[in-house]
Amino acid sequence: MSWLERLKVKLGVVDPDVDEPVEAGAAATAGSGRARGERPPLDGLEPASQQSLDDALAARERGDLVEMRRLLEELDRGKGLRLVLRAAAALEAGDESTVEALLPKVRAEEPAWRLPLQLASVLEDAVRARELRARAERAEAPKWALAWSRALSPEADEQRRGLVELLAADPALARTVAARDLAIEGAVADGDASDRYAAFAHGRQCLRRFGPALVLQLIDRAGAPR
Amino acid sequence: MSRSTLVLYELERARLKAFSTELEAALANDDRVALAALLDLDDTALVRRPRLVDHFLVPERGSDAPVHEALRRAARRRALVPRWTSDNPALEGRLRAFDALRDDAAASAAVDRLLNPRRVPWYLRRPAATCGWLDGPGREELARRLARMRSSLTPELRAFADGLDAVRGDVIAHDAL
Repeated sequence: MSWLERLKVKLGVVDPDVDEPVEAGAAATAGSGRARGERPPLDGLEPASQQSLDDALAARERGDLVEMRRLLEELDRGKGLRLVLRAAAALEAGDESTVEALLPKVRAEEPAWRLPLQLASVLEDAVRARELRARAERAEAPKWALAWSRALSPEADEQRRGLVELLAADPALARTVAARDLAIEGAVADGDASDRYAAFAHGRQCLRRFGPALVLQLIDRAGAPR
Repeated sequence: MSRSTLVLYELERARLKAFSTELEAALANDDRVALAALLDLDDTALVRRPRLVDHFLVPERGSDAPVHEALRRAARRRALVPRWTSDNPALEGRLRAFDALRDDAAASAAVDRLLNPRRVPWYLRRPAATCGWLDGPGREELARRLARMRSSLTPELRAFADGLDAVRGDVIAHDAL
């Protein structure tokens, strides 16, 4: 990963867990069917998994928790949402040795504000959501991310204040959230905000599908980030 | 379609900051009376949407446009004084691409800041409009650099340099305020 990509991840502009387009994954693992001009595979490197986080969540949704855990283990690259969900799934299964092994990495997640904010955005418990936002603020969450999380609060007052803050911090994102998350009549997503929206919304959607309560339990156990 | 021309406004920064604070308080508290007073509108103009903030989360068109226009008008009245208007629609192109100007890294960086909409508050931006802000020292430095290269500038850039000199303190450039 280049320094620019690392910086984008740290600022939350891109999400390393967002899966590449199917075509890119297929080309990388096509082996002998390599297209002209493509680089040969690097020695000693395993090809990327053909599976995605979506497959693991689909296994969960059909009740196949064993398959879900197998897929999460295969997908885990030692950081990001895949790691967090793998640890949460281990916690659910009572697999203490895996949980203990993964907790230090969960605690060291970068950026430290992202997971608490994504979680706050999908929790129905307004008090816990506020605690998570405060934790994200201490971890120097950017204004737009804090405001977005508040804008998704089920509490009307909190949501309105979040929208006003988001409008001031990032008007293109505010209009995108108004259109895509809140379905405000007449609102239209703004292309200038599409990267920031995708980076945050993908994780939030995965947490919703996985079940936020378990992840909350995991990060409570992990404690404050390092 | 006619192209718009740039206007240079002298900015009273403290006044614009106060305006932003009052605006955000009115929206956050959903205070229709306060917002109507701030925008100099009849408060019946603000009843189309369930929350005041929603008026500004939708594109500026149709029946939502007058509220956006009123907001810009109110901000302009409060904190901006027009000092110079270009009469040449080609000015923006010259500012962005004229070689002699672009060869001076500091001058071209200052011009880019002056033409960067992200540097003005959200309510002064318009889709496809050009706008931006330079603080007082930044404006003075750009004016000095333009004066130094004056003989190699085109007539519209020389006029722009004079316009920049006519401003005191911070400057906002806008072509659709």
